[in-house]
Amino acid sequence: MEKATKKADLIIILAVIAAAILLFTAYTAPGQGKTVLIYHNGELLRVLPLEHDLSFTLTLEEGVNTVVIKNGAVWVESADCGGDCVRSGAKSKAGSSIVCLPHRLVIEVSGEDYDAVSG
Amino acid sequence: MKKAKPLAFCAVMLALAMILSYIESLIPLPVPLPGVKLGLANTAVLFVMLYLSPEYAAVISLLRVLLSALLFGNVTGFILSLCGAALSFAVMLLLAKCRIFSAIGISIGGAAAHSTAQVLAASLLMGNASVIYYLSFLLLCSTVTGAIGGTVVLLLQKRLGSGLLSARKQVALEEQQQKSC
Repeated sequence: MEKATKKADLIIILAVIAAAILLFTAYTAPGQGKTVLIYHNGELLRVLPLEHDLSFTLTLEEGVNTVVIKNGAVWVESADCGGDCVRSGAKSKAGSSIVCLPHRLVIEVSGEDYDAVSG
Repeated sequence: MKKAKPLAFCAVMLALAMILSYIESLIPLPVPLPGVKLGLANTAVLFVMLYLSPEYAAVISLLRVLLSALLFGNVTGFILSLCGAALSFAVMLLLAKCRIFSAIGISIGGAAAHSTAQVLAASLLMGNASVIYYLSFLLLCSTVTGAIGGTVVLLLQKRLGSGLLSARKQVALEEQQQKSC
């Protein structure tokens, strides 16, 4: 009969938590986002500054997403994909993103300046 | 010659795995990736792997993915859950072979592998690495779900005791017969 827990289990738990913390810091370190990058099928579709309020509808072959940029945050207001991207809420931190897998759409918040990205 | 007991046992475990993946699909994760799941169904797979045989566990895992995709999934969900099931199976088998980890440790390792594989597969599908952003959150969740799953495995082993033992004997007998043939 095995014991309920073993000391070696702690190694796994710590390794997983360490990996999580490492990933978290790697992806959110730069702080406040400045630019919104919109990708479709892995291709850059649009680059927008996060500081200007804007609302628009993206019509893709897979479906429709309505994106809102307001008060330094971006979110998907409505979409016909099932709503996972709507539920993920507003994003403002650099490195964060909203993903709509059925529409192959990624909305990424970048910490770089708009001018630097749009070039 | 009697295969009935392990077969019936595996059927029950497959049903359990199906129910667990259904429950899992009802839990909304704040991750916008359909098909990314916590890996609760691994509990049944791990149980069979540890107490019956890894071969049976592999079959249950594969059937679980196929059937739940047919019943309540879509194509992307199927690919993601196949990747998750495959990597978590490999990691759990590896950890089980080490023999220094308990069911709880193995279960956490499997759950972490499950979410890692799914997020990596999703990022490949999307052609975008920013999806990996969600992995840190999922990994933290998987330590919790993994610990719960491992505890359930240990409890199940206690409750099922003798019935489990006889099913296991038959599997061992069957393997012996195959070798002697």
